[in-house]
Amino acid sequence: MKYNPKYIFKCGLEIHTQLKTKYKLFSLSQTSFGDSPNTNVSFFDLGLPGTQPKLNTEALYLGLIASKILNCQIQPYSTFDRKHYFYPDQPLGYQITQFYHPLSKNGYLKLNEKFDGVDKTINIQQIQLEQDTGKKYNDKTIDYNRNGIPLIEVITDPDFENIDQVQSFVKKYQTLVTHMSVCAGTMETGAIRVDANISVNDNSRVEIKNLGSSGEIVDALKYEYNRQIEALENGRSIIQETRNWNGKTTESSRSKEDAVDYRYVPDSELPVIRIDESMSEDIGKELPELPDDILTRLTKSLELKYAKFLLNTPELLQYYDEFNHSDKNKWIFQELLGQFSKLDKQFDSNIIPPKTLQEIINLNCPLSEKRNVVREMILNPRPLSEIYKQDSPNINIDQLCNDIINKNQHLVAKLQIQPSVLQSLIGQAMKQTRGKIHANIIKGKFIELLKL
Amino acid sequence: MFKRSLHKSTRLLRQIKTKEDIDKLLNNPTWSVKELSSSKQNSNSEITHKTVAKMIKLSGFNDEVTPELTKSLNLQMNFIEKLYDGEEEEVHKHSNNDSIFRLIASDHIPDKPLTLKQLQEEIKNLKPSKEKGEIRDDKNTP
Amino acid sequence: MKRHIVKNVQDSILNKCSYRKNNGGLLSGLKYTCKDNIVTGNLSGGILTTASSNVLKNYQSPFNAEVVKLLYDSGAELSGKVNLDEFGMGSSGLNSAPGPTLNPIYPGKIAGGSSSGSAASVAADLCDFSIGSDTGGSIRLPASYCNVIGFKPTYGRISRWGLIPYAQTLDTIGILSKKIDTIKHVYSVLNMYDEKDPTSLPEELRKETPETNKERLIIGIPEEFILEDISIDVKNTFKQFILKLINLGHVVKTISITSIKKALPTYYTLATAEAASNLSRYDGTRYGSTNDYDKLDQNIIFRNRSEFFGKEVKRRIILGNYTLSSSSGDHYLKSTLLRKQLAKEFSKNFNNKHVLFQDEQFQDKCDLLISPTAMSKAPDYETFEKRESENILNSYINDVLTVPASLVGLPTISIPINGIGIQIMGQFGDDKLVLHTAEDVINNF
Repeated sequence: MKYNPKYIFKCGLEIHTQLKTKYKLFSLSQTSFGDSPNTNVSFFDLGLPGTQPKLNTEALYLGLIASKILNCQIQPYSTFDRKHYFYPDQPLGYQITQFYHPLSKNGYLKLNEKFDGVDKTINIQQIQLEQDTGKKYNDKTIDYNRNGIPLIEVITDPDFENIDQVQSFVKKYQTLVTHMSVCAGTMETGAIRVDANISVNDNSRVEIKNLGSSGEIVDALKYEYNRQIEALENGRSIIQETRNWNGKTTESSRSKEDAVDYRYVPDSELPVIRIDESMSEDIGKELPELPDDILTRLTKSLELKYAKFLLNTPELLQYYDEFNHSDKNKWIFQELLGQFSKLDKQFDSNIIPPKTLQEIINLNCPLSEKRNVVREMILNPRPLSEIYKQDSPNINIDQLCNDIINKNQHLVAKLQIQPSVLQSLIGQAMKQTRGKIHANIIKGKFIELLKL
Repeated sequence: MFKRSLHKSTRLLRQIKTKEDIDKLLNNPTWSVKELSSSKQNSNSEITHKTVAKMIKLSGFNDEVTPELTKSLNLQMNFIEKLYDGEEEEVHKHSNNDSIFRLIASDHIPDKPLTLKQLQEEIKNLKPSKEKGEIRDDKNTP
Repeated sequence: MKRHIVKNVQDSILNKCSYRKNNGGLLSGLKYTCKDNIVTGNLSGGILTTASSNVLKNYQSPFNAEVVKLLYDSGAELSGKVNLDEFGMGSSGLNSAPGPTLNPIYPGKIAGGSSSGSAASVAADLCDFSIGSDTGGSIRLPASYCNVIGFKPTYGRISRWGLIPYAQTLDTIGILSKKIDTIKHVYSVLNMYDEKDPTSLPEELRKETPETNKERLIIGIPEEFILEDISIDVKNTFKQFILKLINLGHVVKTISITSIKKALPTYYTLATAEAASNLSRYDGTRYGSTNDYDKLDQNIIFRNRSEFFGKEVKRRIILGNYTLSSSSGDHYLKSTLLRKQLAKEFSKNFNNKHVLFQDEQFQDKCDLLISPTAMSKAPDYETFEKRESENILNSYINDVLTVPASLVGLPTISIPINGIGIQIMGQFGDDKLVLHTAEDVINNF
């Protein structure tokens, strides 16, 4: 995308992220997805008269984790406020959010050239807890399963200077919140929605609401940037307003004149949240490894694209970390994953656990045999001992062959005239050792013992 | 000045012992409610037609602005202006609802700030309640 | 007996039932009516909850209010849901969609409100007690007009889970009855912490108020409650009451709480703002009355709200939204600060400490405060309507004596003396002393 140097691009984002909790924000109905409409709705979720909210501490916990991983200052004191507006998907006629005193403030997310393709620090103004709304089911029905699910809204400063930075940030953010189990999904599953605020040359800013994918964000911003330039070039001014992206253009949804007055007011019933100063440090101690740290260590011996692949496939990452081998990249990516893919099967770390893979590699047989074992195990998962018999140090080849010779004296006598007898002796030995010892080794032993 | 403070302190300590004391009290009212419904001459916050229309919309109503409604709202506004009685004329531009006085215990006697350990403990004890309709059922609700 | 003919007069009972558990309990044998802004579900046999509004005309709640559950468990029998001013907004009993409930014992007079049906059903001996709600005086005022006892406990003592909110920081469930004993027993059943109600007074604070064991109480009269507009018969009754207290050996003195003069505008600013917020949920799309629609959008919400809400409720919602909106400057902020000031002023006049503010204890301040409940006996229905149409504020002004105790959450009881109520107020949390003294006074009057 070409930027016109006369028109400085400026953008900020508001990212709504569903938290990976079992229950909703103010009532303990379930958050599970894909259920029949209106089956996960408590009395409070429907806004029935006489119901009251109660904060679900799971949401608070994940909100605090999000605050920590985005380097925000956790506020010792935060409160809930009501944001009033009428819409069928908003049962209370207001959303419970944090307008005056949010959960945390003043954080940042650093984008770096190496992992994110761009060097830029994006400052985060605040993170607030709030309720999600219901969702339109059809023209006459709203599905309230989603209503009341906990969200965090992450508000960035208008630090984005170009769309690459926006794209990079969104990607990194998604990876971060999914990897740290803060969010249960992605933009594609609707768990993350973005509003973008864009202005050009510090003119009025325009808000584009409800962008549902990285592609939409990019396209919408491109379009809007150009639309604003065109307006300014033609002597028109930019109206501060809210617009929607319809796939091709942004269209005006409402102007400042029609702007709803949300009449923010503190909620009259919910208690104040008070967080001890030890919280930030304690949360930090318990955090699993951050994505950037994982990439840093992986890329010491692995290409970035593979490292990112591992990062985004936690099951495989765990496998990779558990597996020890000097040539682990080859074994995991080429051999293991290669086979799964060839056989058109989904990777499952339980089929060939790291230890088992280790055992297969240590088998005393050629690579092709090992590949067969891997393949066999994927197709018909069963213990290694059933697929391949290991060289047992207890098998005494001398004794075995002598035994066979003694038992087959009549055959041995024929050896001089019928050399193929040797083959049947070998065959017997193979049978007894169940193929654990290579045929050539046995042949050699017979030759030695029979002095052929 | 002195006389007034003396009078005030005397008032505060006045014990009622006799019928005469009672009569004196009841026959010397301190004020009248008429003071509340009197309209100020120069009310600087009369609600305009435009504002009334806006408020009707904010309230989720389709109703027309009627003179009756505007009048009653203005009366109510006069009433509410009494909040500032006795105070210097201030320009009430500051509009921010960021404060609430409530009679909730934790507002006045704060619980100890939450630690991570407590938070995790609380999460373990979460239990949905049937009484609150939190237990899932497969029927559609009304 | 002459009786003014009034259109659409509604009995106090909107919907009858007869529901109780079968085996014993502290309140077994007692019948009660329940204000129709308290939800009743299966423990009522599925009776409706309408809040006397067309918005909830056919609403059946899937759950029971906590108080309904507690009363059921104690063996009390629910005999009906009673009328109120729509959504609790009003002090006359006339703002009801089903129709006004008038005063059963003083014909042609209003019953008062908003717990009009509660007071009327008790006065007419239709029940032993009634459960009502008090936001600015809604239990005490009708109790006074209908000559029954009305008790509003300390805010937070009785669970509001299931009470349809008008103003959540003010709403308080309370009890009306002819017998003080009954009120005491019912109170003991309902005075329970409920974790479902985030504003419920915590367990550890419920017994914080020290027992007042002395015989000789110090009873204060805030002189700001002595208004010019108080009628002669109220003054005379109040005089008798004071004399009685003195004869019983108590010390009576006057005090001054200047913020009382601003209590009414403070109340109306805050209550209407909260109401605007709390009534935002009524749009007919999930429950409640609705017009037909092809498409679920904002239009149907606006249509439903415009059609089904009553006039007074609409007015208060509009006013409340004005307060909350950016157009109104800082009325909201000012009111909440005034409320805080009032609370502190009241508190420091009591001997016992405030269970939330945790002030010190005193000896020479007041144990209780008293005042008349209303400025007159129950007004004539016609006169009242006329005055209200002249100036809508005239109906608000009725609350001037009850509103302070609401703003401050104090336990307050209105004792009836020939159609005139006298209020006894205690320190926040000191319900016990209020009830005890009320019992004393009633037994000695």
